[in-house]
Amino acid sequence: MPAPNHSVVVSDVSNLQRYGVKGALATQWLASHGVALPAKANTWVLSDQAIVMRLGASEFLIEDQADGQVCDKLAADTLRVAGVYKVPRADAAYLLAGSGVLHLFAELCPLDLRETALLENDLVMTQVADISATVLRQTIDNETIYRLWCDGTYGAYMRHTLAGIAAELGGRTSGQL
Amino acid sequence: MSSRNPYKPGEWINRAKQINFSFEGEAFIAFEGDTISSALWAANQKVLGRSFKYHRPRGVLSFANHDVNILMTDGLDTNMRADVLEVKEGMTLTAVNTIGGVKKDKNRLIDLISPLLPVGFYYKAFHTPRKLFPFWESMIRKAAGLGITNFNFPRITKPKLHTHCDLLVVGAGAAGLSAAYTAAEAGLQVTLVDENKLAGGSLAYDRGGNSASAEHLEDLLHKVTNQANINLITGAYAAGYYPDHLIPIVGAAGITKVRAKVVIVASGAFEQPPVFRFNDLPGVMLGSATQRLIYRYGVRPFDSGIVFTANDYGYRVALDLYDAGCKVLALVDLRAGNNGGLDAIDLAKRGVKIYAGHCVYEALASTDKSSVRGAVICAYDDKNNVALTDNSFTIDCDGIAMSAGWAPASALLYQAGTQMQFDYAVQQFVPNRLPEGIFAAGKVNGIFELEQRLRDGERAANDVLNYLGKASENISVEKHAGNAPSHPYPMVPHPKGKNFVDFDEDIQIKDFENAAKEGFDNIELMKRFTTVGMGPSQGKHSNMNAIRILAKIRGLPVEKIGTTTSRPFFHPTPIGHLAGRGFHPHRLTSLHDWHAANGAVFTDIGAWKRAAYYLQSGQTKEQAIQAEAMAVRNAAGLIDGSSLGKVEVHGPDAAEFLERFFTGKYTNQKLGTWRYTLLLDEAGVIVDDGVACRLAEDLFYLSIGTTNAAMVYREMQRCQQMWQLNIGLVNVTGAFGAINIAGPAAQSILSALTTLNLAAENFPLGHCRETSVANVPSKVIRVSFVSDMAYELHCPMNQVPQVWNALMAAGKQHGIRVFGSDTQRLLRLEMGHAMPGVDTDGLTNPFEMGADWAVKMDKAYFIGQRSLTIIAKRPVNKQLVAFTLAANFSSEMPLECNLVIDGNAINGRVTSIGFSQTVGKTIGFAYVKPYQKAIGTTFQIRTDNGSLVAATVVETPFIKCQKAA
Repeated sequence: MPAPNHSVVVSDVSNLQRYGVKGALATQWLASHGVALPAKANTWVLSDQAIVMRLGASEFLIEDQADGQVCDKLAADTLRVAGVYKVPRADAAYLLAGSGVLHLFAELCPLDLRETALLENDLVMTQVADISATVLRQTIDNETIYRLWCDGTYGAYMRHTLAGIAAELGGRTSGQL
Repeated sequence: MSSRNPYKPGEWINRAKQINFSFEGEAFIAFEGDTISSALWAANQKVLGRSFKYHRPRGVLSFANHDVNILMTDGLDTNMRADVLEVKEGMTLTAVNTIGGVKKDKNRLIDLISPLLPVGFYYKAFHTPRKLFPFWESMIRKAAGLGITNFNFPRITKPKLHTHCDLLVVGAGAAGLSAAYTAAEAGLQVTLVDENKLAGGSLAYDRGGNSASAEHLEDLLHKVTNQANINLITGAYAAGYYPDHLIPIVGAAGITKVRAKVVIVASGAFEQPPVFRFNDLPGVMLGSATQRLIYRYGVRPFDSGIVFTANDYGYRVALDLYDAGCKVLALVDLRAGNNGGLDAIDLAKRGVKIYAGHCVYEALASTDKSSVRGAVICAYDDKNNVALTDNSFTIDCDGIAMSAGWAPASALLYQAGTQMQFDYAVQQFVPNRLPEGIFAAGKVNGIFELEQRLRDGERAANDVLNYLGKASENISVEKHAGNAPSHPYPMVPHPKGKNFVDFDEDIQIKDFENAAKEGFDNIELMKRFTTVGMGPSQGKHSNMNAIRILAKIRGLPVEKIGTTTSRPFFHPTPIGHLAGRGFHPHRLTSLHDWHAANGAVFTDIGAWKRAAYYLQSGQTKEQAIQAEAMAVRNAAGLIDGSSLGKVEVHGPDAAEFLERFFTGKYTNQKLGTWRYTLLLDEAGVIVDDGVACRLAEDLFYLSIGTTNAAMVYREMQRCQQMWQLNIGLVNVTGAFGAINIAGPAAQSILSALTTLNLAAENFPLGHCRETSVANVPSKVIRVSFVSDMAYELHCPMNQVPQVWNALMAAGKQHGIRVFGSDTQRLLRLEMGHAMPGVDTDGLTNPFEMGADWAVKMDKAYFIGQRSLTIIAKRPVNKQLVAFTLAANFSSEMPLECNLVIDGNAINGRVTSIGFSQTVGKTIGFAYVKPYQKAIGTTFQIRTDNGSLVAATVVETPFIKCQKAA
């Protein structure tokens, strides 16, 4: 059962820039643009102030961090290249932190997201609050945080759900970063 | 007078805190930690409830969460289990299932006519005369069920949590505690769950007059609670087994779904009663129930009683009763000879008379039938199952403790797929072959002796470690030797019956015999006919005896009878727990706030919240829809179509992919045009439709139905996995929004916002372009779904409001108006467009809907083609037709799904219907028989009130073409 008075902070980071691409030649195309790539599917790496997520063998989602510009550059370069298909992204994105974050996920996600199960560069595509979502764990300044993405049209629902459970656990929600 | 004994270590009550509550209008005092039953029993309240069928008085039976004759209500909740529910300050309790209270229940008279009400009587009694059936049905429905549902029960969110562990141990008794500790010491993350308030299982109450088990318990609890990697959950039960070791743990606050790498089932066994006449009287209870009363709650079960046993456990019970200050007048053992080992000697030393080879022939009730006043004892021929009553005698007593054996709590093992076998050494079903990752320990594994149970827990933990690839010791456990813990047939026959097997449903031995005589002699059939095991206790105290009785009736060994199917949840679980928090995912378009601010009434379409129509002041829904429709017909209308499914198909094989996926042809489709798409399943049934825009040789942009979008995209991915074409599928449903502008002024309004030449000769119906609208990159599709002058605009979701607002501004002078999805359905009906999912059902093929034109049978392949080839050779069974009702029809308005009737035959149904102000009539679609499809044919629709309305088949579209303004 959820332990009360756990701190959970939910931050809406949907406004960060994102870029998606898939296709048989997507890997080579990104590499040719100097993007460091995760070696295998369902993992992620940091590359030049961007989180590069490998969603499948040849599908990628890239999200700029605070001052990153990787996505804009890639978007500007992408034309209709055979084997490289741009995936327009309109994700809702959230950053979850605090001692109660695993309690929150326990209610929303069937997967084991503890550090022992979700390794530092693992990425999972799963169901959170009954909708498709992508989740990863990241350590920033020695603090463990989780990032969560879902389709932007589910954004209001996801935000409401996260905020509701976070509040029950004694947490709070911040606005756009 | 109180039956409370002096304090003893290990009890579960806090004597320093008193609790005040009432039962049936009478005030009682309990101690904190008391259950309702223990508090009432301590106060000598013996009749705690009434049985379900015959309304016989009942008291404590198992005291183990299956005393289902003792269900209470506090006015808010119902069917509260008094044997395990802690009493709280101020509770006002009454028993369920009585009329007039538990003591003077008016329904007690049913017991007097019980010979007329054997099992299955209502199957045979009430079907004739037929006219009386409603009366009997009403009576039976009132009698059925327990408790009254409180529809004002507060909505309490009960979360469902997901947790994970290396090892889940079910049951925190001797074997479970031992297993959990051993595994945790080896480094495993262990979750240990027990349904009782405190861990320990029988260690806490089965003492047999000595302190060995209590010492073991103290030692084990100390170890377990000091092991950081053991998560001990008490007061919660493992309710079922699901694949991949997913086990829901049900606690008071909600359900926790535990997914474990490995599971040890150490769930113990349920004590089984011997069956004898009036074994249900208040004061007759299981031996383990007396022990729980004594050691958990400090309650003396009775003052002077006897123990009726058919195994050695009864001797331990007798010792515990003696130590608790009860006068044990006799121990009656069904078995002949010397049994009970050292315990028998100890009892003899205490002066307890042992009657071996005897039985309790019947319990005697007090005058008001509220308690036991004595027991008739006689010799018993164990071999032939005969009570020898010649020299029977009576012992006056106020209680009978009974022990006959055990039934393993093996529900989870069965559900996991364990192959069980009957072990005659213990007279019990035990695991023979366990599924991968499932282990069993303790009584459920057929191990009964305490030291061996502890060792069996350790053995199971080591097996787990071995299974997980960790070094572990190979531990062997001795099989049971000596007397079997369970008696093979503890049933005492009595010519007058009332020897109860199932206390939930008042089922007696003769009920089984009668069922077998009627042919219900298979355990599953017998269960359903007699309802044994179908009450709230789910057979925990009755199934094993029922199997033994059936085995005897059929002259078969028990293992040939088998057991009934065990299904999750094995214990009744509140609906609120199953419902949980309730997630209702919904999608919003980027215009949602605009819609809300402008009077939209929303409807759920798929996962989307869509504006159905916009209410203006003083309007009714119908008026709003008609006004919106007339705006489209006379000027222009705007609808948010962002919920449409949208998929890009990239790559050299994109056209080939569409040719295989849909019924139409796409390889020869020209750039800048769109074509209709119709998706079938392999059976040739219509699934969805939409349009495919060819934006480049190697790029199609598909617009598909809102409701089916996710399913269609999944099917595309599945097909691509099989076909391995050189394509890329991109689902852009959430990334792009869509707007439809329709009506005579649509072209003029849109022209003001785009450089694209919209003139018909340049951009006719069936064309599409990538351009910009209101400075937003957009795809413009010239469509005719709701009007023959309409454009669909697709652009990035976050820029939809920009385009929307620009269109509203540009259209203001033309009288533009927004319309919702309800209006859209009327508009497309006027246009004569049938909609999959609305005008089709799960069996409709394209020939029946009149979509033959969209099916290109001459293609090499498309999904459903093979089935359609077969279907095409058969006559069409139904046909979708357009119809109108007479302008002056005066009957009730027909509705969608009203039937098309011809004489006594049902020929079809209405699929769409609505009043069209433009047409001046009610128009619609309906399925009819092919002989009714000709234009001008009249057919009858039966409305909800039964009247018939004439409809006439007409051509579509219902409206004339509109020209650009």
